[in-house]
Amino acid sequence: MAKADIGLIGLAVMAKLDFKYGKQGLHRRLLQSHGFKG
Amino acid sequence: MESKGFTVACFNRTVSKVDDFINGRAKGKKIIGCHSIEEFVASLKTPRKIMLMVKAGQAVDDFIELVLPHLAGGDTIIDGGNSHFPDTIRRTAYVESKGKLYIGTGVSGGEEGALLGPSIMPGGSPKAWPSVKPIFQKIAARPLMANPVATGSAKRCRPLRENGAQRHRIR
Repeated sequence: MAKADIGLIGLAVMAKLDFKYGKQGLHRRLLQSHGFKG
Repeated sequence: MESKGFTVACFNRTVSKVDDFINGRAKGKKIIGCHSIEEFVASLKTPRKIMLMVKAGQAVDDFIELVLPHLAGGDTIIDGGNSHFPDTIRRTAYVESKGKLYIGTGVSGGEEGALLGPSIMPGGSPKAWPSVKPIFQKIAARPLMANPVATGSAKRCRPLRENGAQRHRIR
């Protein structure tokens, strides 16, 4: 793979995302935020 | 960042979390998982840009000490945490004294902002701005990103930054 444009140290924010939304929940929240129901 | 077309290398102090991330949310994306600081630094284009997303306080200083020996002149360390602005001013002076560049940037907007476009208010080494500008301006919520990096610390601009985040949420 090509070299990275930027490096990120600390993945706690990703764990927080999974905790708050879950993989399915995240998609649902994003759809709802764009006006879709369900 | 990845969703905006950038390749991102990632490292975590607890290395098993890198594997969890690479095999989970990051699977199939332009994200490089690294298991050591040496591997992490070697995976970056130069001038290197390293963003710390760690808890404000001693952890930021610890990671600065960890990565500094591996960096070259012109490389930039970015603190994306919630550091107090006097700490950012102190760290900018310290990192610049070592010949590298430093930016402390508030990233506001929460988890949704992280995915859809956060409000970003960078402050620190002005020379760092040309290298981080393309990334910050592409990932950020638009209204507040017209101005270049401020000298010193931008944390004093917190109310302005928060306004930007609120505006973004309303949109």
